[in-house]
Amino acid sequence: MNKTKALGLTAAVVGGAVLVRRATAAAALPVPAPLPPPVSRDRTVRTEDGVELSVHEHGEKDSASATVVLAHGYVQSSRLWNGQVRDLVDARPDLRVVTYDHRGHGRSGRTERHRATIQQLGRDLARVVEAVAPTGPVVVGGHSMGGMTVMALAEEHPELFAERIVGAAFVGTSAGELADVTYGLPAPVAKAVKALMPRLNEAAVKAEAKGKARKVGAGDAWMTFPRGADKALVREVLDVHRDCSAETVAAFLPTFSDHDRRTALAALAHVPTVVVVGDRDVLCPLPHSRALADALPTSELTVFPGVGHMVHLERRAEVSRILLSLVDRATTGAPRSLATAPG
Amino acid sequence: MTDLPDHVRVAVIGSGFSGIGTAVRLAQAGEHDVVVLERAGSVGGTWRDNTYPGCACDVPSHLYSFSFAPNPDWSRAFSRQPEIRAYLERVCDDFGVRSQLHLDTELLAGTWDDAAALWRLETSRGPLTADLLVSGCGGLVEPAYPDLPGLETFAGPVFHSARWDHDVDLAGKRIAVIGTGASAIQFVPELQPEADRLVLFQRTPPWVLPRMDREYGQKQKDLFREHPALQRVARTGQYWFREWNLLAFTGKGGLRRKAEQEARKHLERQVPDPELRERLTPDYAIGCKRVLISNDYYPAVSQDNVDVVTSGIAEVRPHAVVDADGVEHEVDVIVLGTGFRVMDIPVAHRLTGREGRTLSEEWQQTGAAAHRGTTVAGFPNLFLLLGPNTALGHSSVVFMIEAQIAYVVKALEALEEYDARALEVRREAQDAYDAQLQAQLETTVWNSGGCRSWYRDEDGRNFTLWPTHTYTFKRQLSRFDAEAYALRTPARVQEPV
Ligand SMILES: Cc1cc2nc3c(=O)[nH]c(=O)nc-3n(C[C@H](O)[C@H](O)[C@H](O)COP(=O)(O)OP(=O)(O)OC[C@H]3O[C@@H](n4cnc5c(N)ncnc54)[C@H](O)[C@@H]3O)c2cc1C
Repeated sequence: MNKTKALGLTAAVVGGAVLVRRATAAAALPVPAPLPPPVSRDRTVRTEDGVELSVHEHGEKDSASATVVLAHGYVQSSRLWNGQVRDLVDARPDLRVVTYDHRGHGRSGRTERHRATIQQLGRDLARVVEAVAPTGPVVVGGHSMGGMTVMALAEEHPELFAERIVGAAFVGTSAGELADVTYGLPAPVAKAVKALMPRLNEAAVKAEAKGKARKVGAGDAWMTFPRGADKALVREVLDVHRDCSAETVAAFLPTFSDHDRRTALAALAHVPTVVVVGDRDVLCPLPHSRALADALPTSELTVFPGVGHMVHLERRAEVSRILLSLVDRATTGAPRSLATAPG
Repeated sequence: MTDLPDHVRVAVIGSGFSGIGTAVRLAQAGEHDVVVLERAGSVGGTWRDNTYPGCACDVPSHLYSFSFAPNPDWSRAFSRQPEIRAYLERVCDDFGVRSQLHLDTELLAGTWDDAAALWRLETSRGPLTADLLVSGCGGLVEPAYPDLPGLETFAGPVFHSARWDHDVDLAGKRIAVIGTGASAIQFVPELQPEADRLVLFQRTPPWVLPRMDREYGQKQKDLFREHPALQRVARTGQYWFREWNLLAFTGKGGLRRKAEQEARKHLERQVPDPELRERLTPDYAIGCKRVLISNDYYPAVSQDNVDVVTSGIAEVRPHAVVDADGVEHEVDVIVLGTGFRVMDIPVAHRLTGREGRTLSEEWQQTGAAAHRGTTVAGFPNLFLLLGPNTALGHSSVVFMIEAQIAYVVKALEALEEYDARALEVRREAQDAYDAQLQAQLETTVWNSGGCRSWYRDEDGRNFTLWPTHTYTFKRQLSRFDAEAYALRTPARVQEPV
């Protein structure tokens, strides 16, 4: 749910020149060579309406002990899960780890506007799970809009969580009430920004049609990272943002305002879950993760102080570790001690 | 004694300066759900166990005491062990620690239960659980026994300075003293006058500086009592003098050369015999090993009834110690002044972290390291007082202990602020902290002074000392650096499996 695109413009306007200067300084630094993408088997999965989703499988091919499927956020792509993919496959070569691009994102096909919804993304995820893991236990995870996608899956297919899906991870995400989010801005400013966004988005779509690239910069960085974040990570995320079309940005924005899947969480009451968030996340702020954890009795909540929306990048190793222990919890029948606190 | 509770917010292990200070500060911060577990029958740690003749602190008493419990009655600049022990007993009374104290209660094992987010503790008096575990087990607690061939065949008494056998009458005896460290230098002058002979086995001579000791008269004590501010000034003066002295260890060498000159002069003044002086002269830079202070050590070893043997020990026979030159020294008693097992502290074998490894196993892989000397990745809600790289060569470790306790209090507040149950330092943060610290130590005399010491492990990695000023440590620990941590709230219910 990074409304970062449109906000990139708007925030730069309201936020002033400071932000621009920060981004310029970042851009001046030498770019370290990025890690090569993890070795993957690429394929496509066709959705019910014929969109070709770009899917990347890693790790064990045929006899995986479990499959982990990770869904990315708004305006992002599967690439931003690469850190976790590497860590998971390194630690557990017996796993199959799958990432994919949502419709309209990354290398997946375009979507019709009326299908640019979280509900549809939930259905797409069902198709991906079916295609990549016809059998065996599955753990699903999502960051931001990807987490909402998992909730939509639970809403559309609650039965899957009893049969196939044995664990779920919610990273920097929310179950609803996003209208109240102020991006850490004073409420009136946030309100103005939100009112402006659809119009800016449509303007960007028109500009794009005329061959003008969408602007991505300081505003995007400010929305997704706290001050002082690792420059290389900021750069990586902005690169991914740049790859996203103005059409996708505009198409998906409305779906966040009616995202409310708190009741859908009931389907998850009996599977182990984890909730992970940075306390400086201005897009899906900490209280949203707390609410999620409260609604999920089996969830373990981890808060990373000082971290923004891209918690899986800023705390790569720890988030990988949390996913691995979720897989353990979800797939082993090891006896566990009581979690209720004594005293 | 009261029964152990089933569960506490904070369990503190040990009742030396660390454990007592923690209990006091937690209570002052409003946390009273605390137990202090002590394996011995009384409090005091170091100052209960080391009862050898002449035992005293070598940092001035006004500095070597709690900031929150100044003591106007210190009898001298470097007070003796009974007085320091009594001070710690008194602090327990004055600050209400007694009700939290469980004596004769040894921590046998502690295991982190990740699902429940608490420590499960086994003690010699039964089990209990604790949200937070603070180890105040000390670094200089387990006597180090030398591996001498035949030691077990010795017919007479053998004891370690930290386990002094007061039943052995040493008057008129022939005594072998093994080791010339901080303890030996204090008890040798006490034993020499009453011994028939004293054979001192020295591996490496220490650098010795004059001890500026003096008695405080009643007038001075009254003054301190009536004007606590004056006592604070005295303490502050001692503090800054020592921070300035630090430069001898970390600086370019000017101050170090002056200290060496002073030590050499001290030796020349006190040891007239050039041959003995030669044997007592160190061949490494001053400060590389702990610098000792004494006014009576050199005069004592210069006496006719003392032999200083430097060739090493070949073996022990029932009535003698044989040196490496084959000379047999007949003795009645052997006193081991061989220091402590600093590496591989016992409690590290007893604590098992989130990944099922003990702290000792963890440290075998990484070398002993902790974030801010206090917290360890993989060991949530554990705080090590006087953990890796918090010891000092130049000032009072009580200052370091108090800085760490402040950090523990802040960590507790962070847990409450985030409404979380567990906090764990991130490995990356811990590694970054350690890398910086090790780089800083590289140029200090402790690492480059050309000696072997208990400051460093087999690989030469200095895992004990804080590399710079103590106020830097205090400043770093005065804030809880939450961004170095993950804060976790476990699942309320475990899924049926
Ligand atoms: C002879 C001597 C002189 C010293 N002089 C100075 C000085 O002048 N200045 C200075 O700064 N430092 C000095 N030190 C260092 C000294 O150790 C520290 O200053 C300080 O006393 C350490 O306090 P502590 O509470 O951390 O540990 P300790 O005093 O060692 O206390 C640890 C306690 O933990 C208990 N314990 C250990 N394991 C367990 C267990 N498993 N279960 C239950 N209880 C357990 C022990 O019984 C002990 O009571 C000296 C040390 C020695 C040995």
